[in-house]
Amino acid sequence: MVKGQTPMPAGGITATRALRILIVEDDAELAQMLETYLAAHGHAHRSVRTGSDAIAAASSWSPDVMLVDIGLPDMTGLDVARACKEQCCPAPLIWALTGRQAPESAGDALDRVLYKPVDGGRLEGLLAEVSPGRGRGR
Amino acid sequence: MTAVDGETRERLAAHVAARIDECAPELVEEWIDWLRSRVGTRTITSLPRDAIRDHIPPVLRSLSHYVANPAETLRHEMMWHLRVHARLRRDQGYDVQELLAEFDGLGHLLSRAVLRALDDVEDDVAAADAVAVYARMASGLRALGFVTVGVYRETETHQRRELAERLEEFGRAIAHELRTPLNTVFLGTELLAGDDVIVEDERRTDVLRLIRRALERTQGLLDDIRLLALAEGAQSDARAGAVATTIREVREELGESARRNDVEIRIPAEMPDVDVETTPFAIALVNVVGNSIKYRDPERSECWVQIGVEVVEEEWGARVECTVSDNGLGIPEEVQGQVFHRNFRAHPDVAEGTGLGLAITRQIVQERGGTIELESAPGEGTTVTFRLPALDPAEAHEAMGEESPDDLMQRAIEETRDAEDELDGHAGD
Repeated sequence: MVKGQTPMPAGGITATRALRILIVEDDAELAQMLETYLAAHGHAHRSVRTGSDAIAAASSWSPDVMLVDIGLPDMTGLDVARACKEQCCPAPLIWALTGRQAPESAGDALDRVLYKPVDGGRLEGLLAEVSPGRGRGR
Repeated sequence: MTAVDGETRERLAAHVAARIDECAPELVEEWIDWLRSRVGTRTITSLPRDAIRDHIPPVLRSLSHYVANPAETLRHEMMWHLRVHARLRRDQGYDVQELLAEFDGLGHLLSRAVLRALDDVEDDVAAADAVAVYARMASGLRALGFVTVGVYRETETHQRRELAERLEEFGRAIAHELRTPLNTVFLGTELLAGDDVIVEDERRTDVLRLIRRALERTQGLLDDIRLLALAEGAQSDARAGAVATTIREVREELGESARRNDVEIRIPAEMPDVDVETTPFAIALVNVVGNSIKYRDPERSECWVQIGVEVVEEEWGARVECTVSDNGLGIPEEVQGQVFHRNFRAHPDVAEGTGLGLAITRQIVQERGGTIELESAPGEGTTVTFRLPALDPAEAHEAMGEESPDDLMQRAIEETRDAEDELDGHAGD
């Protein structure tokens, strides 16, 4: 496990760094822990447990980043990513969270694949590189 | 004794072959009668009469063809029938020694048919010709044995490969299942130890609770791994023990988990004095009762799981029937058909696990020739009933003991002698 190489923002969290993060995870405990973790780091978050709820929330709430578990009860995280990239404008950054090997033919739909267990420092480091309310592109 | 002459020998062979052909159906019936007398005495639990009638007459016809035309190899058709027959018997749980002993019996019946055929010949038969023709038949019979042993060997290789695949898949599944709770623990400890963020007291309690649940889930996964190891071990562990002792031990083993979850495990005051193979019985019971504890109904003031046990007579012998009833959550009707499938979880929200427990249980029970059934009403509870062979306490220990190679050899000799006696007795009927 590589510890986050990006230095943590010094002096705590400022409002300008706050991102909107949609958590798509069917494991209740991990979802809740991610919420707590992201909230403690000053991010706004929402959490859904199924692929269909994720697609709905992606268009209604316009997150900056989606953290998507690959094994969801109703579809794969990859399906969710494809649907969101197609229908959402602006398209959120979609990061897969997976316990298995990288999903095959992840294609353009996934912007990043993170392997469980994800180190919090690394996650926060990566989030620090994302601009809040970022524009259309990546 | 007449002189040896190639033409005479071939005529004799053709004659014998024709007789084997003629009496093939009759021989098969005779063989089935003899096999029937072995049912329940050895590994045989039931006789696939129709399958034998389908597959053995073509084998005999092919054998007779070989006696008449030894230059030709045994026919493909015969190989096919033998293979199907061997696979069928193997899948029914017969061991290869039993099958070879059965073919020995068939050989004995064939020998008598050959003798009768020789009696029919009006001219004198040269001993050398008779022996040569008999040798052809014996060689054909040995081929039956080779094909049969070959099928069993293939099975072993296949089973080894299957086991390796199962372990690999299980390893992958476990690793995957472990990563999620691990992730929860990682994030939680980072939060609590974090210098960069301050977690309010109220949140700290939440974080600790989540860590604890993730650790509990990890423990559940380890229980499943242990179960799988037990299940693999159970294949070679045939120790017998009293059913009452086994049930009490299981209650003891699950006691801590039951207390923690406020579930009462009830067992009968009186239990039948009968033995079971302890490992498969205990695995099945641990799993089923463990599920009752996991899927208790938290709304109820009193949660219980009741174990019942009795001996029932089935066609092929006595079975111990164990019934486990609870007043838990129950399983929705539409998914009841899936509970024995791998990776199925009826209540993923309630308790964690790999969803392997019942699938493994069913496999173990079925490998022992047992059955397992489930009935459930959501909101009322679930009843699981499994049956495993009952062992007579007096005989069980002896029968279950390991046989040395010498014992096996001695037994084989005795069985061959018995088989000959049985066949001779049969001939006198």
